[in-house]
Amino acid sequence: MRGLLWLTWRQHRWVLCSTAVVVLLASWLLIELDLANTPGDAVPLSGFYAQLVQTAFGGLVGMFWGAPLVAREFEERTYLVAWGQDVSPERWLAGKVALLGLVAVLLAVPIGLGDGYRGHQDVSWDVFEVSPLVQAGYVLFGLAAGVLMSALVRHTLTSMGLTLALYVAVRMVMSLGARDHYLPTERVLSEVGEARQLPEGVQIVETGYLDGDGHVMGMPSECTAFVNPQNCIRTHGGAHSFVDFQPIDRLPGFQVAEFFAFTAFAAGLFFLAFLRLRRGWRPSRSHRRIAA
Amino acid sequence: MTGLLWVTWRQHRAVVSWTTVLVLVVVLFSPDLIDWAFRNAFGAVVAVFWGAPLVAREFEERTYLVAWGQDVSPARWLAVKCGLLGSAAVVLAALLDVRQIGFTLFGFALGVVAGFVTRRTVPAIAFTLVGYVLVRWLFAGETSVWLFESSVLCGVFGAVLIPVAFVLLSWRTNAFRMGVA
Repeated sequence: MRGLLWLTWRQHRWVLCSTAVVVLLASWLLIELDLANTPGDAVPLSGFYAQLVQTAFGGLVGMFWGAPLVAREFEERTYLVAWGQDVSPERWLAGKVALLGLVAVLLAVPIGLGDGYRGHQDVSWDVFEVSPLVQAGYVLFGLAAGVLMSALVRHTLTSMGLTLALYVAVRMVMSLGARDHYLPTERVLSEVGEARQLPEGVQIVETGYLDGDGHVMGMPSECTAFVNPQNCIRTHGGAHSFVDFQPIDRLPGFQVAEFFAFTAFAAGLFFLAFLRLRRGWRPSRSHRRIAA
Repeated sequence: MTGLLWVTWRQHRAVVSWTTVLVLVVVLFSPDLIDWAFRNAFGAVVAVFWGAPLVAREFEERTYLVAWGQDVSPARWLAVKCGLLGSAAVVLAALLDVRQIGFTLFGFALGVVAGFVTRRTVPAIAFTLVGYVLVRWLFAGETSVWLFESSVLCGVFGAVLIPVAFVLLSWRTNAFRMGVA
């Protein structure tokens, strides 16, 4: 185990150090701007780029730590040395993943502390991703995606590209689609055309109209032409307008749910990577063959 | 010349194809948010996946010994590769947004230079990404720096970086002839 610790540090020190520098810079900007928060100001450019690092952090770790992990060993044929020791390939991978995963989670903590001016409020749905726990989940998922891709395709550049694509796709599906529905939404009804009373800071999921029986009805096609369609909707049977939303006090719970969801994804991907390594780590005949 | 054309296509067809597919999907179908994000990330995608591996991989896999040992001179090899891939990138960028042409050219050139400097793929990708983001950051606030749009300025940077790449190439090939590399 001591040997594996040394090996991991020796092989990955450059990428670890440069990631740490980026993390320090970005989290300093995020926290500094968060503390200097004066309401009404626009997000400064440094804050925007720090938020970019915050958004992309899990994917970057996946691309630069995870994707080359196994793929480079195959590409450079160093797996012959690495796995020819008394440490089995699974042990080798487990040690590396544990060490790198631990460091990645530690680096995710400062990344999740500051909001870089966003939202101007410390508790808001706008700053969902500003949480060490959520960032830890993202970074574990990114690492797992990278490791699985590198075990599958065995080619560094391809596995980096695939890792990025998988990470972006899953994050997008989860944040645009799934996240709003971790718990059933609450609904507020009001008369059609009347101003609605919503609690502070809610995340609006859906709005629309109900007919007399309380069923959701679509916008009648005749009404779309009006600037103020309320009268038209009433005459077409609309009884109420509704708003489905997630109240603000659910935010911490949803962040925990997001962490567990991404950690579960990560566990699944790590499991597949181990399976792949155990089953067939010997290179196929076609691997790196120069095709005509 | 047809040989070089064929080599360029043969080596880069995968990355060129999937980038083209992505661009077409975004241009034809994509919703606003993804559209905006992809438009602004396109230069970085070209920089990281087209530019950075271009020479870095030749060094890493030692295939430069083959590539530059032909009757086609290394400078010509680089000129054709940069010309073809650069113009393909410009066409794709123009499909997305005219402003992206400058950023894309800059990213591509930066990637090629980073490949010569590091001579390894992953560090070249990392340097390219950091350099690209830093330059975009420095000029993003300015709608006009010396009367130029930031995208025009980035395009000019790219045009300056291409000769730098040729100078680096001549250094490397001299070292190669003298048996240092």
